[in-house]
Amino acid sequence: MGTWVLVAVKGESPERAHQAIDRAFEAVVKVQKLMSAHDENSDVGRLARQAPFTPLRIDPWTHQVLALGEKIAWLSGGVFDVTIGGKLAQRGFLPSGGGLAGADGLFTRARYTDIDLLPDSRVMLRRPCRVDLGGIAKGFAVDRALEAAFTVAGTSDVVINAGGDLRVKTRTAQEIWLRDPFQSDRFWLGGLSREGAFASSGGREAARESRQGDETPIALPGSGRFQSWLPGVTVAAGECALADALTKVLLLAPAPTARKALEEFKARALVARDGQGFRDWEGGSLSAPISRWPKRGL
Amino acid sequence: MRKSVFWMTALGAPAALQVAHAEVYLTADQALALMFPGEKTKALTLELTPAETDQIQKSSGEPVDEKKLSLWKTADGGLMFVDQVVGKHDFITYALGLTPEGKVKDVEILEYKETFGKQVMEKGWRAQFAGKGSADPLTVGKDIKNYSGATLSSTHVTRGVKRLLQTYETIKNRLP
Repeated sequence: MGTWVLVAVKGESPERAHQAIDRAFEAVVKVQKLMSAHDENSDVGRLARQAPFTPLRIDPWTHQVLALGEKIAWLSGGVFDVTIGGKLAQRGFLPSGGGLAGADGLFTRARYTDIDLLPDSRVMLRRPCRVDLGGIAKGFAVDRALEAAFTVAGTSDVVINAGGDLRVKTRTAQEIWLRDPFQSDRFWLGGLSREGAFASSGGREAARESRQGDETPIALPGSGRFQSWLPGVTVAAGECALADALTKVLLLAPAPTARKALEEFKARALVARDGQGFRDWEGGSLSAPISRWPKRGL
Repeated sequence: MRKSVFWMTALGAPAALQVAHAEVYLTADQALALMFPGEKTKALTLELTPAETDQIQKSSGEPVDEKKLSLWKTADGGLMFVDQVVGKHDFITYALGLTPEGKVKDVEILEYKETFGKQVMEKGWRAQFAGKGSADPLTVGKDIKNYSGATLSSTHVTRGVKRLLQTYETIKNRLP
């Protein structure tokens, strides 16, 4: 998944708690195996090799994540689009090829409408697609891990954090601290939560992995233009997969679209623009690439 | 030599525009694969009799221009029609898939020639038809949402679906 995963559990005994942690990691590993864009044998890897108009059976979990992706894509007017994988590969954010040598160009025309979800956990492509479930898969892993931990009797408190996707279900409220997206050694108190799902995107950290160095792996699917500057956003929603998807909508969609999407899912958003902490998002489009990275830091 | 290069560019542009206006999105075979994945399908040839034509026109309130039906059938009785309606100026070719019970499975746009009104291609709009049958009103503004900017396309596709559902009711007992 390209990130570290932290699972903290309180149970009725150390043995039980360890068992719950094991269950949680099993769920994370399963999601990783199914949805990694770096693994040719994952469902995502198989999709990249799948010929159009032939059905492919995938795991119900992958089907579920694709269905969420489709819903968010529809709600965001295509701003959120899981077929961005082709463009990501072109820019070096994903390994080249996806199983087909020299096929990257083939995938860049795909849109989310080129994926049809069929009954019985099957899927059909209308043209070759390179899917990247990146953030929502990570969020989904956190969601399933939390469920898995609670299947062990006696589990009372669980906190799971996978690189910015955080899920909390505890008896007493926890402080939620948010890392400053512009200065990684500074933290801000986001609020208190007993049961919540949070996801964060954007900010300076997002540019770290890039080949170009000053470009984030977040692009507007229409133009394929990768954003060079992004504010940091944190979304609180019912589930991490959803919260993660909504961070991208917030970063890229026009304000009314983003507002509608947040309302639809009863989600809340915090935005950090300037290293002065987080504020409630009160509208206003975040998508304009405001400037290049300041050369001398903030 | 240089002059001929300029000529090439001048000729190239209108040709490209032409292509953009007559876009084929799906072939009938591809639509069949989407609606009945993995199932065997058979093309049927069927022509409407004058009595059937009258019946369909009466029950749907829509004129029937094409008496020859383009129709496919699956082993368990699923059906797919391919039909055309006029959008604003040009034909929209679309496919209607029906379950063995005669309910709408899916609507797919195969060919769309117009520049505007393409919202009817969006899955979210087409999904409204799923489960509809010949007894439903199938009227834009009632049980089918209108699309601002695509009023004519959405109205005409909806009327087409209504006519095909009545066509199905009329011919279902003599399907091979």
